Amino acid sequence: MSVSGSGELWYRDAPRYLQETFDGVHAIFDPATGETHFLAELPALILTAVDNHPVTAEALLDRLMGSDDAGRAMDQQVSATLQFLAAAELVESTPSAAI
Amino acid sequence: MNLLNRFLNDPVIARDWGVGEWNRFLPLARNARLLGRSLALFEQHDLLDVVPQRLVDQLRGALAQTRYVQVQALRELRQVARVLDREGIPLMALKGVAYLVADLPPRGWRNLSDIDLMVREGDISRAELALQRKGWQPSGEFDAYDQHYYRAWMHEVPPLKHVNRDTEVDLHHNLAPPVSRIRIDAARLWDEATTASDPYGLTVKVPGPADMLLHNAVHLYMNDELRGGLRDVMDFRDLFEHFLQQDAGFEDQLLKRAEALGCGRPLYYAVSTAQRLAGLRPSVDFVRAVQRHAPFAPIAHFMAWLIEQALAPSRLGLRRSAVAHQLLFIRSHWVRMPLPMLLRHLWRKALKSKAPTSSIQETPG
Amino acid sequence: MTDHKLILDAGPFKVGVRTVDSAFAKTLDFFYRDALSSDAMQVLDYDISIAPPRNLRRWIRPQMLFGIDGAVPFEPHPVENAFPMFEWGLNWCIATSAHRYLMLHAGTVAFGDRAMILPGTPGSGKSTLSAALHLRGARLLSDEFGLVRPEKGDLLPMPRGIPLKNTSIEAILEFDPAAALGPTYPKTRKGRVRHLRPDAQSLLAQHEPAVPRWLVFPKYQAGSGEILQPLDKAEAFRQLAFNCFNYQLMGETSFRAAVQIVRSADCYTFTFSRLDRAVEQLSALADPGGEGGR
Repeated sequence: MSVSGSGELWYRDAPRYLQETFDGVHAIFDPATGETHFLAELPALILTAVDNHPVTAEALLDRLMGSDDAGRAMDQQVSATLQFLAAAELVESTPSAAI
Repeated sequence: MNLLNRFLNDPVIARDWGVGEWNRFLPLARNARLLGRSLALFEQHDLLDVVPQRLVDQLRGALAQTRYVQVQALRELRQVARVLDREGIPLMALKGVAYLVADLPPRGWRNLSDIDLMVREGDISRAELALQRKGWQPSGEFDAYDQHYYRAWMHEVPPLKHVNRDTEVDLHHNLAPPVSRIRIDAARLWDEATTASDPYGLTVKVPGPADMLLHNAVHLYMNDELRGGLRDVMDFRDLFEHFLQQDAGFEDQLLKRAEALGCGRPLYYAVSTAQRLAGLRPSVDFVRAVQRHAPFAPIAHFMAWLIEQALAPSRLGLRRSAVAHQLLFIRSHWVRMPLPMLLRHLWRKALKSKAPTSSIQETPG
Repeated sequence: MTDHKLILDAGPFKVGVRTVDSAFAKTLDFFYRDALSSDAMQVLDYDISIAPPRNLRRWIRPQMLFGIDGAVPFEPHPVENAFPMFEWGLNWCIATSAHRYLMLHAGTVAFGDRAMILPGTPGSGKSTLSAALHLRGARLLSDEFGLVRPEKGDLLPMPRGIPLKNTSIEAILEFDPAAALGPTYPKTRKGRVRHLRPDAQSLLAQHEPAVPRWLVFPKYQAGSGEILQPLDKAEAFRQLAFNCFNYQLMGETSFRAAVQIVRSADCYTFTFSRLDRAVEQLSALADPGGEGGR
């Protein structure tokens, strides 16, 4: 079963961030923290998805990869990326599925 | 009263200012940390067109810095609130950060360097532990004596700072050290607290309006940091005017609350100082009622003189100003610690010591 | 003792300078004659005093204090180092207050109104490179502070004496033996220092902005050749932000301004060891036809 099947709900509750893309690198300015981040494709994609609507890691994975072998390999990456975004204070999580 | 005080009292006088006034104004406002506040006053009174553009740039530069520290303060508050919320620990924001989260007028210009928070006395150990588990560490070097001083004599645990960030968190369980003569009963603060929230899920308690002013007054009365204290005097005036506008009976509430909390004396100092140095215009009745809490007249006069020397020197860098700061510093320790402990040593030292800081040559004009 | 009261035009800033030290006043005149006046009726950004202390150090191994707004933010310096202390102190005043501008830690020179920004940490060689480019005819904007107006994206000049440290002094004299260098300060906190005087043209043009066209990250590396390489925009952005004094403080404003600079300028890294070849290569950027850099 997937690593990210813990049911945690990921969301972003903050003013809209600014995003500028330079050749596949995404510069992100977060007004909530005043920080500037440089994100690769996957973190930027996940951030956009979470920002659009609260989502579980499982739902994210499905959206990104489907449920084949490649998808299971992505599982770890998606979890790690969510942790990274949370440490950067760009997203938060709550154990409850209801927000 | 210096030029800055006269401006705070009546901003419109700036219309008649020439080069000489502007060149005196900028260092005074910069020294008092009132650049941002001054910009707001110029804007409020339609005076921007008379301010030299280069000075407007200096004021805007100061405001940019203020916006940054405000973002960082709210960011830190949000992170702390999240941790304590999960622990079920009620949290109250105090002073600058409370003005921000409660969206009070000082939000337009108020600088702050750390955040002041309060939890109930019974919760403070648990709160400190929870924060330390989540990455907050004691900020700075503290030996056993320092830690003891903080915990036993002061009203704080040593300041905390998260490993990933720069903002200091001062966690209190009361507003005054338990050994001082002025004791504010923390439980009563919680009784009058209101809830402040922002659009992004942050919810904390803030003191009720009267308590916000009394905290400001007590902080001024017992303050160690007197340089830049004029900023706090302006906070008192701005909050007073705001709450009075919201509720015509506010002066009465403030008075009653001060008497209930035993803060008549600090209220007297706060009101009289704000009247003299920051353009506060309370009603005659209120002033008369507050006057009843004044100290013995010679002391009142001496304190007024000391405060004016420290907060509103006629020229910057005056030796008199530095001496006044030192005397007030000593006095504020006096009200924190039992009198016998301090009197013998400190007063002798005070009378013998030289002015601490500036040894720069006084220049005329 | 004469009480000198001067006003220095330092780009967008007007700086009052009060001193009784005539040697220091003379040095100011050497560097900034075209930008100094004694007209007292100007609104000042900073009112600086260079004055002796009140204690024994007024006479014994005499010292000078840098004063601003009636306070003394730094330790005293030996009186013979009054000029470097003044320069360094003024930079501190600007860096801690002038947040109306984005402040890049960069050398900035201009070819006409087209600016080349050379951001760099100490040791990158940006000051020496700026000095050399200036000596070859580029307009000096600054060797230290790229002042950007965020709403316009342009650079404001603030031409000041360029401090050259230790071996850079010899390198510049070798590059141009006629370079107008000021006095030698053998024992400052940064070692041996001499300053290159900005030329009269740069001082006269100090209120004319320039538009960033080239963003070049220099790195002095002894024995290397001169290697100019295009830099990808993401990395250029990251390094520009890193080399900006008040990037974090300015929040969204600096993000947007940095994006604009990086998008509109040609971005490079530049490793160099020989000043003459370095100046040749960089000037060629500004003037590919090779007709002379102005």
